[in-house]
Amino acid sequence: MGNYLIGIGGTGAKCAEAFTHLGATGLMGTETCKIFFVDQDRGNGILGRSARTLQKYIECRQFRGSNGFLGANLQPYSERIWAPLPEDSKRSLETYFSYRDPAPKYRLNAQLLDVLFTRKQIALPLDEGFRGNPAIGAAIMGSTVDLTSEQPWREFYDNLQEDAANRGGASVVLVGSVFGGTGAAGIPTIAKLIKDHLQRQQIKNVSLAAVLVLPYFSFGEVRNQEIQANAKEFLPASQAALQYYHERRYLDFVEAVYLVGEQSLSFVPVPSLGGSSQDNEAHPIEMYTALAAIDFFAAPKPQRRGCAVASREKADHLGWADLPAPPAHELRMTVGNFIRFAYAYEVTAYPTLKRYVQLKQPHKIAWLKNFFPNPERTNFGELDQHVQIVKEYCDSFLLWLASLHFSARSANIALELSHADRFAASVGDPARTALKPLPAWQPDFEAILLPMRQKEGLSFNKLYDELADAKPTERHGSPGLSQLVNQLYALCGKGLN
Amino acid sequence: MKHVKNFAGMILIALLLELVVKPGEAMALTPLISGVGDLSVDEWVRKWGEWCSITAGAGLFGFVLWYLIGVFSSPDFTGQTSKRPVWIVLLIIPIVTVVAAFFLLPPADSFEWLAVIFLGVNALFAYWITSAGFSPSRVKTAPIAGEPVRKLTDALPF
Repeated sequence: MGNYLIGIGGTGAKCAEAFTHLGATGLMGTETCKIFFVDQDRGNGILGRSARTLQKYIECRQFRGSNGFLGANLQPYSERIWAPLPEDSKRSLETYFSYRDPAPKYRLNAQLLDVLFTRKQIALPLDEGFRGNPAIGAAIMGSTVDLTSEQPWREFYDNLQEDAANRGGASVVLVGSVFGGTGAAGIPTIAKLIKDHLQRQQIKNVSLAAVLVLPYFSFGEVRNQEIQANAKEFLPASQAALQYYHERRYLDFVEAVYLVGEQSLSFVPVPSLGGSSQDNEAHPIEMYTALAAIDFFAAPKPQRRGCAVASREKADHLGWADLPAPPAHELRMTVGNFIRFAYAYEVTAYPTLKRYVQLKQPHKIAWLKNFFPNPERTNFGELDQHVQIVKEYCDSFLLWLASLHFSARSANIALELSHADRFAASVGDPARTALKPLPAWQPDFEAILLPMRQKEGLSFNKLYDELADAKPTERHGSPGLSQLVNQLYALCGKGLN
Repeated sequence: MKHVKNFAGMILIALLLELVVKPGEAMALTPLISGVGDLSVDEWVRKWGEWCSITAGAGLFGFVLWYLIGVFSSPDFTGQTSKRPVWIVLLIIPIVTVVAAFFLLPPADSFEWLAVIFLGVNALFAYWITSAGFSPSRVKTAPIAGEPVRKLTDALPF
């Protein structure tokens, strides 16, 4: 089976970011999934962050072993972002539909636009997305989406065709918000266009799912901008969108619908119209959407129609047990193992390896010699790069994890997954999540996961001892850094329950 | 399990010194030693044997102290604060014992120096080989020139 995730709009990109991180933990096993983004606002900060996260993960994945760690084979398309309108034009409804052209063939367009939109909406430049206006998004998407000639759609269809013919089918997840512009307009339009294409080409065994994100954050107003997303309108906008999908039977195009929402809205301190300044921090809801995608990829064809509901026990508390786990996985163990690994790598392996690269000999570090027995044969320049690659991904993962906690906190929800305050802090004004400088020895390693459990796993002292006694083999990956990270990951999972 | 292995290794070294090395050295010393005053050579060698056990025991005691320090100290992940100076300081225990033996052993006119060298070698060897081969994981690279021994003991299947 081929798996495909299409992140639509800013929320879709954030969900793809969460999906990347959960894939890294091993929740998807070694499944392959190709990813691309749909957004009119190519310069969107969230989109950039999500694409960078994916790239960092792909680079880090070269150090995977055979234990599911860094298992998910996530691949971006060569054309990672598809924008309904060409990149180089600052277009608007006005220019796109030739509103001012007096030619008779455009008059009907102009009259229709006059009926449906205000003058300001017609003139609105669309280089920063649809600014929370699904009607604008729908007008553009409905008329521009040609899913047969443009990249990455052409490659996507070729992939679906090949999967259907040779790999037993494909699963496609479309994820985005229904309260903004791009997602609300894009999900139903794209789902319909994909289904139409599949029917025309008689491609079978392709299942679609829509992960629809309901409002989960709010923000203030951007000054001196008349047309902008308005957080107060998110709920009625979502209601209207869902009503519209229902009446037009748009959701009939997909095999499964995942609706994800949050009653306590977190507050985004820096409102933005779009562009690089739109870089909202990660939120636990996005983890739910990633779990939804993993769930669908694991079982794309539900045996019977039905409605499953996942909710949490206490309104102001969200813990591991509240999260819907994908089949055959215990979330706290799988994700918790990776959290401990990322933390341990940052505070133990990374500074030691940097020192090793600097000194070019293992010195008297007991565990280092087990993984790098031949310093004279080591390419230190390459090792330095590799050490940095793993570090950058671990940074990105821990930052994301901490953001989940701090976003939840801003909505008065206690997220009890990890002790994020141990490795990150909310700094600056407006506040952003940042990793703390960590000392090289952390006596509280055992307490990094919540809820804290007595004698769970290794203390840092024992972790060191086990590394020092390790006898890495090819099973743990290729010699050197790969064996080290795999062994460290395995040790960090020891005793988790 | 690791502690059992390490202490079993130490006991093995102690038995080797007591049952193989010491009798061998005593056999080598007996024909060489002379001028031991009122004592017979056999009696002198017996007294030397007692000191031999004490000095080797001091080496092993040094190892036990080293072991406890290794187990209860914080590991040094980045290798910036090596435990090697501690290991060197603990060498004082067997050295002081050998110096004491040198002064307390009845004098002999010939080859007393060899007898003292045997005491010194046995004591230092006991400390070095046990700490090189059976130190706790987090300090196992600290003993000087211990790597070949450690490779051997690491290769043990248990």
